Amino acid sequence: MSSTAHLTWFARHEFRLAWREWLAMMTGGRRRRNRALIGLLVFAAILHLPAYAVVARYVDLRFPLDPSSLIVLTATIFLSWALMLSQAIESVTRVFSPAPISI
Amino acid sequence: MTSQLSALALRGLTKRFDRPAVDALDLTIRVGEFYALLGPNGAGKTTTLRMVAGLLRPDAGSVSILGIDALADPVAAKQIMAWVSDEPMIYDKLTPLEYLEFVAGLWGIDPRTSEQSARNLLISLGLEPHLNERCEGFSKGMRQKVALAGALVHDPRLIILDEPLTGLDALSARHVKGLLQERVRTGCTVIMTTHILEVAERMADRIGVIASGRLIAEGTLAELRERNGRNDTTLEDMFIALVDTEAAAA
Repeated sequence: MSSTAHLTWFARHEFRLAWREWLAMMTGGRRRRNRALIGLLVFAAILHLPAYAVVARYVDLRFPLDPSSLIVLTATIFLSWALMLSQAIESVTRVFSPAPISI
Repeated sequence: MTSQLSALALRGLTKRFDRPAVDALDLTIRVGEFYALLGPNGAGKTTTLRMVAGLLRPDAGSVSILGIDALADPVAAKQIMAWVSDEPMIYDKLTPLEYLEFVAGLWGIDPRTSEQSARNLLISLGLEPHLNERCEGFSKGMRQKVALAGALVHDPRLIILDEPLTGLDALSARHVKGLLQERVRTGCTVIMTTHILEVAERMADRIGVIASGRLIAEGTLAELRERNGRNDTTLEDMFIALVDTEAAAA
C-alpha cells in the first residue's frame, strides 16, 4: 500500500470507529438505531432554526470570505482535526500498549 | 523440531523499577520449542516478555530474536513475532473479522489474502458463530481469542503469550492450546507464561522457572524431576520447592 492509500485506509478505519461510537452514544446502545438516528437528525435540523435566529443577525458571510473569517474557519477545522487525531492515538495506544508497570 | 539458531537469546537482561525486576537474565529458547516460563507473582516474567516484545527498554543486556538484535532493529524483530497480553485489548466497536482486517492492514498485508486467513484463524478458535458480531458483547475468553487471532494474523515465527489461558473456559482453552500446538508443529516457537502448571506440564517442551528476576531452574519435565531426585514429583511440587528454596536463600 502506498502512503496515501494507507492514510485513506486509516482514515476510513477511524471514521468507522468514530461513527459507531457516536451512534452508540446517541442511541444509548439501543437496537432500534434507525429510528433513533432519524429522530436525532430531525432534532438537529430543528435546532438550526433558533441557532440561525440568534446568529444570523451578527454574521454576514459573503464570498469571497475575508481573512478573519478564514482564520476562524481554519482554526475550527484544525482543532477538530487535532481532537480526532488525539482520539485516534489514544485508542491505538489503549489497544496495543497495556500499562507498562506490571511485573 | 530444533535447529542451531535460537528463537530467543537473552544475555544479561536487566530491568529495575524500585527494585530489580529482571536481574541479569540469560535465557536461550530454541526454534520450534514450546517453552513455558513459570514463576510466582512479581518474579519478573511479564517484565522479561515485555522487554522481548519491545514494550519496555531494558537497563542492560541484549535481546536476540531469530538472530535479529531486537534493541538495535526493533521493527525487524517485531515483524517476526507476536505478543499477546493477559489483558485482551481490542476495539469494542469492531467485529472480530474487522479487527483482524485492521491488524492485517497495519502489517501491510493485502486485504484479499488477509480476509481468508483471518476467517480461518477465527474459525479455528471456535469463533465462527460470532464473526460478524461486535466485540463489545464478548466475554473475556472470546476477547482473548480475538486478541490471539490478531497477534497471529501476520504469521509470526515467535509467539509470546502472557497468561493466555487465564479466565478461559475448558473449551476455549482447548481451542487456544490446539492452535498453539499446531503453530509449533509448523516450526513456530511459542513462549508462554502461565500459573496453570498442568498446562505447562502437558504442553511445554521445556520449562523455565524464574524468581526474583533470575532463572532458577530450566529443562524438560524429566530433567527437572531428575534434578529434584524423584521421578514421581508433579511440576507443582517441584515449582513450590524451588520457589521456597529461592525465597529462603534471599
